[in-house]
Amino acid sequence: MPLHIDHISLASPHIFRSADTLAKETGLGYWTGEWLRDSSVNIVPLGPPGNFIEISGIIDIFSLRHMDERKQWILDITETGDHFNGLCLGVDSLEELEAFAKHWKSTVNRADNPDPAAHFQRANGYILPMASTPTGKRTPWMHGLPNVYYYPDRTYHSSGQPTHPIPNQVQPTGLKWVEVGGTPEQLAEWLGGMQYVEMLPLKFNGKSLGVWAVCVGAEERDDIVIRRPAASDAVPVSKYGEWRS
Amino acid sequence: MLDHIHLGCANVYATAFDLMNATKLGHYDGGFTRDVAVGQKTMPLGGGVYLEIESIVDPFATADTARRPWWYTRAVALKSAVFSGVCLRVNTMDELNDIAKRHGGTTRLNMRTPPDGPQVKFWEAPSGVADPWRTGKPNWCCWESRLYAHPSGQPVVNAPGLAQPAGVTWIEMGGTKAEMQAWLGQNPDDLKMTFNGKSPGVYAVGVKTDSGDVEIRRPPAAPPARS
Repeated sequence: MPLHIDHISLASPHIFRSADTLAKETGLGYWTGEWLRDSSVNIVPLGPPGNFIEISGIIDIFSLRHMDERKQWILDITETGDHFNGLCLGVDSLEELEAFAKHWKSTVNRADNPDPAAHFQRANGYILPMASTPTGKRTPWMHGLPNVYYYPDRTYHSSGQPTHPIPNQVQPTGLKWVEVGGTPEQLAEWLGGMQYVEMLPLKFNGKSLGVWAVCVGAEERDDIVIRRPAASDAVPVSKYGEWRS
Repeated sequence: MLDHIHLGCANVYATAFDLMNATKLGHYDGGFTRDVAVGQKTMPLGGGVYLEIESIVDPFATADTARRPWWYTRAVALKSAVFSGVCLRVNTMDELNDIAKRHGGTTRLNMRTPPDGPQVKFWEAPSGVADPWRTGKPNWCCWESRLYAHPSGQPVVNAPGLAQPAGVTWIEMGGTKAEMQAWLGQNPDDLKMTFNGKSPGVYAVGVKTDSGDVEIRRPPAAPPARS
């Protein structure tokens, strides 16, 4: 696959309740138990070829006694409920990932970082090898912009894990489109060319940057549209100025 | 009989994972409770008993410190997971109502939303009086006809090298046997309780497994009794 959408992050004030609510709303199942330090994600697989929504939030309120900019951002964008806070693209080789890192004058967060605390870990201890760019103090998500991932081994990719059975569960058949704010030109400037934008199933609504809706196909029923405000609707991206790696 | 033991902590994910590594006892996601924004991991101990591991997972619902679970303050102060209480099980609501009445209270429905469907429900007592756990005493519960869905019997995550739990072999409590017998109305020996004479609460649990006995020892959440 060329540049593609890998997953979408949905920030939540209470990931258990948000996953339960989304499951009841859409019939999409989810799996649980992945965490990184003070945060955890519940994963909603979207079907082939391998996309998912991660419902993410702070699950250790002890950690809030030592506040930092990232945690404050998460609190600020979830105070009024769920907000889409990240579009996560994917590439198929480390070379492609390094090219994006170079474009952003940044580095790669390597998949083989030996520190377990640097990776999301599943409840059984498994760590999915995952590299990403750009790196830095701030995630581009705070600017309403996507980052890019590369998985050296997709065998246990998050999109392919079994979900908890839920009542009236539907079978997702794949991501159809993602509605984002801004314009194609703005995204092309960030990614380094319109050719990248044209590879992605995006709809632009001209609103503030970030993800506003996700459409998923489903067996034996109409497409499912999951609509939540973008994080930039709660905290303007202008708060964080220009992106710096 | 013993039903479950509660462990309050800061991070339910890290606590459950670290405990699994230390004991080789598996766990699974228990979901969340309704009245306080708490998430749960459940660790079956065998013999129809489970360990309930919980932490606050909603920074907003519990911004009001008065709404935080009572064990939170103790866990913060000790920087450790703490044993918050023991719940015993009776078979019928008549028995539970009798216990509630004997302690001057009533019964109440406890509900939890698991990730996989219908809510988990059990009745507990005594309610409407001071919470027994806060003074290191057990309370009681009844699952009515829902024991088929008891948390001790649900599958755990597929972590490598897990042991098969075969039941609680002892539970170390503070206080004295006489004090406990007066509260329970039954011989604590029936519940495999041992007593260390310290301030009330749970101090440790011994669990038999197919690869040896394990001991889970944490501070009790109940504050030391004033002399």
